[in-house]
Amino acid sequence: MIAEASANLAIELNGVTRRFGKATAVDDLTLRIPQGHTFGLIGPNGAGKSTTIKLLMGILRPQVGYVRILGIDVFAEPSRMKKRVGYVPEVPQMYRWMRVGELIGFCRAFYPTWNDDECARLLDLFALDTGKKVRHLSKGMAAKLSLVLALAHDPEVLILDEPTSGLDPLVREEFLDGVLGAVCKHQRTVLFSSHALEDVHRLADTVGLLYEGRLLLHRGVEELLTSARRIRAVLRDGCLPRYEPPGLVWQHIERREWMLTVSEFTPDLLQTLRKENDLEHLEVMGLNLEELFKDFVKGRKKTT
Amino acid sequence: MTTLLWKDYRLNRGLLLLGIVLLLGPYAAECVLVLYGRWPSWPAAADWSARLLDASFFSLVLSQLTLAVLAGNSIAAERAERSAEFLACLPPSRLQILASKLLLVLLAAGAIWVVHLSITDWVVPTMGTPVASSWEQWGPRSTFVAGTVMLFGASWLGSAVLNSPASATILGIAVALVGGPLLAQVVWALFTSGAREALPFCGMIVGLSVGLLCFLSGSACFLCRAEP
Repeated sequence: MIAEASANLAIELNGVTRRFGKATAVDDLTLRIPQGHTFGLIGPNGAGKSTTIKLLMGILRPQVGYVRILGIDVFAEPSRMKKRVGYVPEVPQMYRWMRVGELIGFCRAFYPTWNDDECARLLDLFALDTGKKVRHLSKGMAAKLSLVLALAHDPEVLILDEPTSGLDPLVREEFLDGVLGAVCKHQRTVLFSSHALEDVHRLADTVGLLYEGRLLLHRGVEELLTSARRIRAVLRDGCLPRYEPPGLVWQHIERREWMLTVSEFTPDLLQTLRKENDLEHLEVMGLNLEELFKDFVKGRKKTT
Repeated sequence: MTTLLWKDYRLNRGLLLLGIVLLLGPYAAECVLVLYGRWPSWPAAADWSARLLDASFFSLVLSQLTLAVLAGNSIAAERAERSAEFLACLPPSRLQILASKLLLVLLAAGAIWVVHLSITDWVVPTMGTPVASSWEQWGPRSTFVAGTVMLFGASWLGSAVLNSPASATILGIAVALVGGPLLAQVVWALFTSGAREALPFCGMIVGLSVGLLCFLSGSACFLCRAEP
């Protein structure tokens, strides 16, 4: 049963810990992404997103735990794994002295599944000139070339590390369209990290929030947005909150105003809040992914 | 593998061109000198062969620089321009990447020795000039090879450990010019009865040992190291 479940997983990190000296970048991280899912990895700077992605790509080795992609141990069979994975780094460090066409020819030799038609289609879509030297490409064009190289061998898994950071809105749009096209057409598994939460909302069906190397949250985006709510309560004079609801993400009290964000909102919760606290007023508001992300991080900071 | 070798050739194309100049330059210079010295008459075969032997020595010495720079550049150059990170995410294994770099340096070393040996052991004897037999030249040649191995090994180690090709090359040259001879003297003083004839032998043993040790540790370091 477990083997069967594991066989359907595209990405699996199990109890992974990675330290750099005394600092723990990834702490006992367990993450399982089934095939065909699009997973957005979010978190503040230094949360361990890039380290997690480097662990997935076999660039870094975990001190504890194991990493598997499509059931392949990343460190036992790196070549086999890399042939089935497309990777777009935050800053593409391609051979700057090569021409675009040369770089494509170079990468093509390593992938038995290289799809020339798809490569040509993507080059055309992104208007990339194969005669141009990589060093002469703008940041946006380099990002697009990186995506072409990641997609042209028809990978089953696509891993993107903050791929749209620093891109102008137009290029970002084209880039995301390219990713979306690849996901929809081939039902690929995608894991991407991003600070741009509107991109995450647009692309991901599942989201994971990483904070100080730990996974605070792993849920479906729509489910999360449906169940999370911000509640604004006004306390009676001289009263303090007596009851903290379950699934409390963040709360803030200023004078009589009590703001709280809960991840598991139910209508019953309002009744309980009214019953357990001396409230003058109660108001429920929806949240977008960015507000929710901020509340999770602020709530965690207060706790720690 | 062919693709990796092509990439390494392209990465080191400038250095290989410089290597060709250093390899063939001394022959060209000696040819000009011998023609100039005998002008307007055509130089005798003996003049040619003497000059060619001189040129082959200088060419071999200068070509050691090519090997040091190539070895120093082989790994560190990609790290310096950060394309090593890109390559690390592609399917070729670290061993294949390393093998391609080594093959390029070995091909260059092979070309240097083919040119040298064909001049000294084939061209010059066919001109009728008696030269020392290969067996007689074995001693100086083996010492020279040992020096080359040390130079290459130290540059290779430097390239695997450092981020700058220039620093790696300087390390290789420093080890070959300073560390190696000093160590050879120490070995000679400690393990021989002070006989002068034993010194080249000590130099050869030290050169080969240090070179191979550096090469193996550099390779192990590259295979275990994560990029960047």
